[in-house]
Amino acid sequence: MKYKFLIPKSLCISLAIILTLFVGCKKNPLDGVILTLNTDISPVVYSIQVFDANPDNTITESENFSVKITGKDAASIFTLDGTKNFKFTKGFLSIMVKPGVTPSASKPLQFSVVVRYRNYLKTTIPVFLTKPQKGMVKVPIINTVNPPKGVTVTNTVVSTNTSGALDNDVKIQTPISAEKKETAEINIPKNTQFFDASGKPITGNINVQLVHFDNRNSQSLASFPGGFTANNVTDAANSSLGNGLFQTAGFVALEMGTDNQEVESFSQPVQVKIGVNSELKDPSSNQPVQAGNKIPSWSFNSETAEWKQIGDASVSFDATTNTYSADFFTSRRSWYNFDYFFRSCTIETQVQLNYTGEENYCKFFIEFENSRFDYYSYTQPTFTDLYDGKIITLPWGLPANESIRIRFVNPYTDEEIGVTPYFSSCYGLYTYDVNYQTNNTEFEFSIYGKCPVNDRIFRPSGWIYYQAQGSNEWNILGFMSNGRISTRALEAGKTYSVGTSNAGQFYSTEVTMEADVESAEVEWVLPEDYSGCK
Amino acid sequence: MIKSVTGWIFLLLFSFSHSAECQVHKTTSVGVGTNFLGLGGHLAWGFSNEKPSSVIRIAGGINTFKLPEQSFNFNQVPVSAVAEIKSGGIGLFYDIHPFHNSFKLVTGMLYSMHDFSANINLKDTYNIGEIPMSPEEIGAISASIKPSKFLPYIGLGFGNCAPTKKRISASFELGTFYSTGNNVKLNCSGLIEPMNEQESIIENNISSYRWIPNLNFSLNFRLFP
Repeated sequence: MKYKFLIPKSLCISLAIILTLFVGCKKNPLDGVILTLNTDISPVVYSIQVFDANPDNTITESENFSVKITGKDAASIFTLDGTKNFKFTKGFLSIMVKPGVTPSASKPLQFSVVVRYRNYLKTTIPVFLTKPQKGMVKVPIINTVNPPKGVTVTNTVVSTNTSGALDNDVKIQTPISAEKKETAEINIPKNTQFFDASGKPITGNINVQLVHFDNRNSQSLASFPGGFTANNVTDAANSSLGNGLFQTAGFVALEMGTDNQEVESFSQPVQVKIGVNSELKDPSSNQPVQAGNKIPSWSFNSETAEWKQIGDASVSFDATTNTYSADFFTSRRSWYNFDYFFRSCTIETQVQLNYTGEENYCKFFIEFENSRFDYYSYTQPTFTDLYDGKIITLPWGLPANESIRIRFVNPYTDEEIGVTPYFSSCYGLYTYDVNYQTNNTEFEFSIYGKCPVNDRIFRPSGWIYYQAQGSNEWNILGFMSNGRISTRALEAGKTYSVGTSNAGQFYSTEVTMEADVESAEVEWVLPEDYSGCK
Repeated sequence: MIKSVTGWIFLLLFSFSHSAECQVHKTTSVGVGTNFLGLGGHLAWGFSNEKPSSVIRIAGGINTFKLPEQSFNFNQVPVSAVAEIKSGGIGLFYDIHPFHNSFKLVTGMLYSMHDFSANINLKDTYNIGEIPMSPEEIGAISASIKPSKFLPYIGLGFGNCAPTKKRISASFELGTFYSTGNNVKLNCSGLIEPMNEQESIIENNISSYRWIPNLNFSLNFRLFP
């Protein structure tokens, strides 16, 4: 009997203990586990950095810039948080192509970023991609109040009568100075009417802005709108000329309109005339231009980023001023380009690096052996990563069968890494052996954005910039993928800010590089209205 | 952890030495049954001439079952989860009948093949701004939790696993395995792959999940003599 009573009691106590041990005071296994997303969802991430072409100016209000994406693939372009709210911050705009849209040689991607802001010349940034890439481009923009050297601006107002026509001939001319030897002028005959894009006449006072870029000054050449390479060029007969490079004799930007309407065309042709640098050589003869020579003239469609030949400007010589000029007539308001055009190779030219050294970044310049293309050296270099086996695709539009070489430099110190021998611009795949070592140790950032409401975490992908303490300039650090980036750019003992532009916000944090620390974790709190937090 | 396992091994050795001193091999049986390990069986040797006082068993089993799909919100995102429990192992157990009746205390050690896994998927499209991402593009969370390989065991129950008087006996047992730790493996795919870094959070959350209960019912058949 004793045992009969004892055994069930033992069993009950044991059962109670076991169940308590198993289920008592347990946490939910998912407590504290956070939904974390890698935002590297697009094959194309592009960063556009605008800066004032005049080095004496600083852009402080890029947040207020008006941004419009145009072109045939504009619908596929989004901000990095998947919206269409395009906005510059600290001069940066980061965009991506919709996931699933992959550019290729047979199906290139083409769009333009059109930037407007008061006191700045409207700027169109054409982007043409034939393969997936994480690209970035630095674009100079022109402050019309204080333009760079070699660029002059004239602002005026022309009045039309009640029928929208001019009562008198109008001549608008940019000024000449010791540093600006050529001028540009527009001559509009009386009775000219002005029409908007729908063909409707524009009446009243019309604001006119005429901007001239000469081909002498490095600042002017460096800020040549849209750059010198072009991917969408047609001749006067509307036949495609493919990709190519312009050699400029000068550039004229004509903006006309009221507060509400832009002038797109004229009722009769107007004369566009520029002074011609007497050192300009006609490529067909390789001799300085002479009276009677022709310089092809082009207009630009900012919607399609198309350069279209509108005729040939005739070169004339003025014996009284001992100067050359070239002019043509047009009925369309546009950007006008007085340029020789050089067709590019039909194949892609690439450089493969046999690289020994730590993985790093570099920027590279393309240099031509032919001095005719010396002006190209003023264009912005390309930033890329540096590792063994890296294949660098040279920009489309390089002129065919020219002798070129590539100069690689450290993007952080401008120290030269190496220069290739000259090779043909249509070489195909050129192989180059290069070695480079830096003294800086590798440092890794782990970066994430956190939603304030639901704690979701986003691991960003995009370009990261850095700013040395005391400097006002943000420079490229590299491309961050899945919230991680390794760099050898930062020196031990110094303090930097690192930041990125994402969905109209600029996130940054200050980091002091300790000698014995090799990594840092950075948390940026996202705004509540960040699309992924909703 | 090492101390804990060592302690259980000493307990087992002590038990075996006790039986070796006092008893001679009397009966050999086989058993089939169901328990936490699933369907299983054992080979048992009883050590008693008059009454069953101790039994050594080599037991094994395996079981797999899926839990019903669960839906819940994870960081305010609707998800569905499917969990699967694979239990199994092979072990050495020692039953002692202290009161010379059917009541027994059990100790032992299991080589564990337990694996508790779960797959969590988004239920709906997740929008990154205006870009809809399918659950497949976002990816899935695949989690696996495995207790330690060797699990000491303690339990109690009724019935003799090595019947002496009758050819057949029934046995019931309640006990618990003890895991010295749980190994969590996250295998997140797609865009949520960075969540793999959160294994340690789950490991910490389940650090108190050490005791694995066991209910065992078996039918035992004496082979010989």
